Amino acid sequence: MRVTNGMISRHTQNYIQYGMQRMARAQEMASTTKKIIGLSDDSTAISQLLNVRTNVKLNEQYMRNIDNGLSYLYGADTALHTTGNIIKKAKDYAEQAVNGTLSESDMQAIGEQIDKLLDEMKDIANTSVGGVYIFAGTQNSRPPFEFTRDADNNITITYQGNLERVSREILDQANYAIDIPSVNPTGEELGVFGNVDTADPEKKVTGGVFDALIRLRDNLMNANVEGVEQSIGELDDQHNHILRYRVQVGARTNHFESVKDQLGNQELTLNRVISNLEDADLAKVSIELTQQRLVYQASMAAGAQILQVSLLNFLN
Amino acid sequence: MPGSFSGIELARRALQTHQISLETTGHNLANAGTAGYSRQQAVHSATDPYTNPVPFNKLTVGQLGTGVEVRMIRRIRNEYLDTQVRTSTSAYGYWATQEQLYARIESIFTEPTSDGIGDVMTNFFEAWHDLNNSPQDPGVKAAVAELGDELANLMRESHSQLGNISESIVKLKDDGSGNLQVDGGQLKDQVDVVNDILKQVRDLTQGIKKVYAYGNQPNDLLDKRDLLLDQLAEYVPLNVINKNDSGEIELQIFGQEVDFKKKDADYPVATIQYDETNDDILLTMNSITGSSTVSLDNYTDNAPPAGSILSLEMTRNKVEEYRANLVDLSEALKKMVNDQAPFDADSLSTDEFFSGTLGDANDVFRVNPEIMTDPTVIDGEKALNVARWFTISMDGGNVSVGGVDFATYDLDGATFSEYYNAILTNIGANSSTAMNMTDNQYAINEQILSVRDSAQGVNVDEELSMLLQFQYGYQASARVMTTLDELLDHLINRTA
Repeated sequence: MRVTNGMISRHTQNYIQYGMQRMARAQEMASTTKKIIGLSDDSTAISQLLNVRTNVKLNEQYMRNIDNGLSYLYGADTALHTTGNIIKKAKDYAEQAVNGTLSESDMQAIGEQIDKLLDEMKDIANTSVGGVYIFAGTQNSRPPFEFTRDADNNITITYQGNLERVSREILDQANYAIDIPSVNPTGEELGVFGNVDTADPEKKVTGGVFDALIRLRDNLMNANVEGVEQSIGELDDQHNHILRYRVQVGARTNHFESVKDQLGNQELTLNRVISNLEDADLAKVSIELTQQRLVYQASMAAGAQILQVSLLNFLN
Repeated sequence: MPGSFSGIELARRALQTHQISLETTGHNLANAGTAGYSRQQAVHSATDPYTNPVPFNKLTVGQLGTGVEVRMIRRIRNEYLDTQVRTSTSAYGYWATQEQLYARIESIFTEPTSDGIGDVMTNFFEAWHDLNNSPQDPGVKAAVAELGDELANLMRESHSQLGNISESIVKLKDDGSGNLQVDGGQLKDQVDVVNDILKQVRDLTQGIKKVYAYGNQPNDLLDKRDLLLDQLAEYVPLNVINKNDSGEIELQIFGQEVDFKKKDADYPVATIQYDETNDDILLTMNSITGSSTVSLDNYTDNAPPAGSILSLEMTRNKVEEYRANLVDLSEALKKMVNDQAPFDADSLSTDEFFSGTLGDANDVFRVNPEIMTDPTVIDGEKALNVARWFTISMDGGNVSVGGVDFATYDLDGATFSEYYNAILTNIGANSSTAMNMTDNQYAINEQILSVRDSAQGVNVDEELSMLLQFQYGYQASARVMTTLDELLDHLINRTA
């Protein structure tokens, strides 16, 4: 084929341009450590990459939901544990009172102790985790249980929360309650702290551990030994009742923790997928960069050499 | 028997011939770097021999030569290669334009290196999850509103930037009677260039015809015309039919004959109109018998894509498609979030979380301004149901969320993020196709140009060696002249 000067100079330009393009691409990969930088870099991988990224972000959200739920559950577990302790303590006092050797004023002194335990119990019922009252349903920005004492030291407990359940979405379309019902509507099973009549505008709390403690206190105050013995039985019932709820909390906690582990593993796998899709192999890229630089330099050197040569150099 | 001075005439012819050859070589060297130039060659031919048609003439042996002349100055060019060059130039013009436009489209979307609409959309739905975790928290409510607004902003931004690209290709304007007319843009500019080139081709053709009429070779004019036709092929698929040896040609653009030989007053001979019903661009060409119209959108149905003008319209269609996709996504977001009514309806004048329409300048797509002013009207109790839409595939059917059936927006069975990612994937795939095709067509074009250049291009070394050859030829002829001169000198001055 006949070759002309125009062809040579055009080819030289093309080779230099081509070498420069390849070098720029290798340089881009080396400095970003990514092989997918623009949408057009790998059109088959890009769809997968974008979707997996969304998945990872969503997983992170589910893990955040679980963490949030777990703090709730841990709070509830501690509260129930303390409630159990208080009941046990109250029972110890009551047993002291009924062993028959105590005077009326001694019994009243114990009654005062129980009165203090009632305050403690109230504080437990108003436990908050991160500013959220965990026994208040979803209306949880203020303490749910309110004590009012009248002149005769009669205690009325009212519930300020609502009866909605609190739940967390821990996987796609998988929503689980993380609260244990602090109060249930009258007629249903007892909540942790009793029942509340939904029709009652005051929302008085009845039937639960508070009632049992108040009755015990009143029996002690009145030195009613028979009543105190009855109260001991009630306290036992309440203790078992609380324990049952605590088991529920434990089971839910386990459930959440295992889902969290699973999501954590999944996150690792998904991040590995992302890395495979978009991360450049640095060793390979740096070798390629060196190669491309060589090619680029070679094409320039060759171009410079060949363009200088002409018959003119040899004519005088 | 030739005359006494016939030798001088022979030497004169030889001198002239070599001088013309030297000048032609000089012309070639001068144009070694001229685009579209075909090398020329002075074709030497021996002049008619001297014969004396009388019987019994035996004074000479055979015929006596009378020297040399330049019969023609030949333009070395393979015109069959021109067709091939123009076809591949058209294909290259198509893909190179598409590559450039897609680079612009790609730059609108920040993915995958940094966060874009997809990530903000994920953040937005995550905020609803957070709101479900603390349903009364005014801070989280504000975050939900802010992220919703950011999402709407980003979508508006991308939608309008795509609009800018579309408008830079074809700018439409109401002509006052409710009809949209092409009012500017790259496509119109290129059609103007096409008309301009056609005018120049017309003028050159007139010159070419005149030169042919005088029996000469219009080599340089032909080169210029061929170069213009090569340029024209970048814009439109072109078919050149050489009518006869008079220099006349017929041109077909998009397969339709165009009469480029009209007077200035009758220009432009190629015009575009906007077809509003089909969102199509129609290209009308004036021909000798009337005019013919080509729909750019339908052209590729039975012809390969060629020319940057076609590429502009095809890419504009894709840009409009991406815009429509974004509108669909915004409508789906609006419908699904609004259907859950995650707000206290009593304190709002319209029951909307998202309001407006994407692309509507009078009622922009955004979070309901009333919610932006007071985000506490957002109802945290419904947050989970809103958050759940993010992972639900929507095909227009009913989906139960939180125990209630909702009619979904038809997103072809994709979730919000899948739908958005599909738009990005489509852009990426088209962009990479355009890049690959541009590279391929460039290589093909280069190959054919090299083949053509191999025939018509100037090789400086070759010309220089011919320069030597003709120089020696000239010197030798001059020596013949001197020798004859000496002979005659003897004859005339010394024989007395």
